[in-house]
Amino acid sequence: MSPRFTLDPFSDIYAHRTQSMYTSEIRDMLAITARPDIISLAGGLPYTQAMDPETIARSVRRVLAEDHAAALQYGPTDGFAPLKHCLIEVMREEGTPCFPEDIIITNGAQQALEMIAKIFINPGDHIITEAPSYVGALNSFLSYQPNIHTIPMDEGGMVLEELRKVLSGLTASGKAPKFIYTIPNFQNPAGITMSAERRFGLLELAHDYDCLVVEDNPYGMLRFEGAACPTLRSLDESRVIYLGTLSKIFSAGMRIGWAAAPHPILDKLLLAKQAADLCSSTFTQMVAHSYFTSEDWKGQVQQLKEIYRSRRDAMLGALQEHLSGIAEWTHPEGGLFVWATFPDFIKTSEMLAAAIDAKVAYVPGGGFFPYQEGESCMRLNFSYSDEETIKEGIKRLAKVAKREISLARALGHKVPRLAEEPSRDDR
Amino acid sequence: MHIAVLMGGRSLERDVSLRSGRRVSNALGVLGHDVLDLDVDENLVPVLQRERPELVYIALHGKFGEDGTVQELLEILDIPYTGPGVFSSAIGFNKALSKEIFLRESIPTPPFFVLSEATFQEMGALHALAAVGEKLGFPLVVKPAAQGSALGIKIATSQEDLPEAVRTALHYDDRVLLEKYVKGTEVAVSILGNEELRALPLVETVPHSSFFDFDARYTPGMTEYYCPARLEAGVAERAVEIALLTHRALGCLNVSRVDIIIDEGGTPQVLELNISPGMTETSLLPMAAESAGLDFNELVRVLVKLAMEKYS
Repeated sequence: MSPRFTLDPFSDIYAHRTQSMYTSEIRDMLAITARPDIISLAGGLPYTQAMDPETIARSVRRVLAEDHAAALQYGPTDGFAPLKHCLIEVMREEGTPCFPEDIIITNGAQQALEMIAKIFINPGDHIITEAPSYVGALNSFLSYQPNIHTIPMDEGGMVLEELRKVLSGLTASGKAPKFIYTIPNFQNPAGITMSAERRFGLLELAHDYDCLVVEDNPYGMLRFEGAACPTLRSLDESRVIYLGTLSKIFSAGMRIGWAAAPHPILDKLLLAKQAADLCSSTFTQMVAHSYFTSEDWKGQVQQLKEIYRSRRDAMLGALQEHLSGIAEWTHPEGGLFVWATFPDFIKTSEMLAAAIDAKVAYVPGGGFFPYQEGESCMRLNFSYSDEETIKEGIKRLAKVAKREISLARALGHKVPRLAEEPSRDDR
Repeated sequence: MHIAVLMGGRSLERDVSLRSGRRVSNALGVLGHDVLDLDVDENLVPVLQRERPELVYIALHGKFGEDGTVQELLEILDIPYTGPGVFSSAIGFNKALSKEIFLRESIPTPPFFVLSEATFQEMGALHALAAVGEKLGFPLVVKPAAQGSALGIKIATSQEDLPEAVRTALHYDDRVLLEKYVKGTEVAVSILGNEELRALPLVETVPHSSFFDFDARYTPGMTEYYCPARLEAGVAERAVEIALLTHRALGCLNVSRVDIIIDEGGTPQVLELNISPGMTETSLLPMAAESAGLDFNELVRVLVKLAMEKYS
């Protein structure tokens, strides 16, 4: 008998949940976008270059001067208490009352998502998310093997009629969902904001069907247009787990997020965090505390908003100029992303190879859905590249999309001819 | 020896190449060489001119690295490099041209047609797809003529699948190869040598999915490998014979990996020849070498020795 080569000698003993963890063609292709000659509209990176390094240096120096021993020590599992007061101030800026004892500081909001999945999801449980939704959340959830039910969105956010149908269907068959996950402000990836009316409606449904709501709010402070809507937590503390982060207004690298939740849930999250990592980094929490108490953090957020608004305008303008009549896109009032939808016959994951060849990259839409959907969509990031780069990127993307359309026609799709389609020589 | 390892670059297989390159670079370090890792970009030539390595190890995969481009550049710069030369690379990377050569040399290969994007955009080739289906029969394997790692490959089981499969392939190259699907056992024959050739034990791949696609190649556990392949002695010998013939037909030096399908009648048919076989943890050449008693470092040592021999 010929020996069977097992590349991973441990493959037989991994837990079933690892089956939903794998590398993909798309991920590997996007590795190329790290190269400087490619305009990447694919990432989700905040523009940390906008931060004055001196403010960080001062914060670090203060921490070391005041209590370097504490900064280098373990800390409490629920977080560095003085920092909680800063986080509460951030929440109050958005009109969300909260108290230090209501929150637990986590290693980025991502850890809170993972812990929520861990404490709530048994294999086969049912949960509800928007469609599309944040990939990091979906991955955390999927590794605990739930059935994910997705609710489509329109310009006002989750379509509540659809949500009602799913909730009533699940409840009727004895499969009450564990929670509804939503990113109400400038959603990742769709850039959509849930209207105030829908927020009330969502909580009403959650109340009627006795379901928890997980409100992920990484971008709320980055509103550069329109009036703010109340956070879900500010409307109903009793059934909302609120997730906040400093990643988008201070530093993603410091890994500081938090969860504000009803106390029994907070207790379980504390146990989960103890098991996961004992505590978040004391050093970065103290630096963040020093920054938020002694530096002009609100001025910094204001500056970021101005930068992002200008970049969003550049992206929307370029989309209008180069892709109108071909694609449709969302008009985010804040955050980092625009979501573009192409005709059905365009599969954005397949078009990515051609786009990379044309030196522009985006994230294909399929990855933002737990099951096969969104294949004609893409996420475009406007926070990281400057205006001129964004315009050039969209121009390149339009050329790729037009070639795609003419190719689809040549292969039998009934596609109306566009005014200015490229000839083969343009490629 | 001062050796530069070329890896990464701008091909779609950048990530795979980085994995190959880093492993090779480690091995070269262990073997006592002075190693310079180079992620290929627009500074490549100036850097090579400045550094003047005694040898370039090409760990690039895909376009520009495997298609003769970088080999030509190294010829111009008079820098020795590992692997086959410009001709073998240019032909090997282009499955359409390779298969034409297979036919001329009477190397068995599944029947095929090649169509370019222009034939669809400007000559209405869509209407010829029915004839392709009739002549070759289904299922058909539809692949970009020049692309590695099985990117852009689809299997069309009926006439209706063909246009979409063609469109997929045309995202990766402007020519598409339509090849009759041959059911059978997939084996990879790795060959080492210059004048005197040595075939390493055959690696049989059994993907869990319908074929050996990108994910199956690079995700441990998604494919099972048997080495040596579970073939009757006569069949394995014939496969090696054909692989050697293929290697020679394309004028390869140093190394190649010939991918073969043994059809249900026991006849080996050549699918393609790779001039820069993967060197990652899940790659077939290192697996074959290990089965022949060459660990990874030893394999790299042999490849360096063969490359230097080429220039002596």
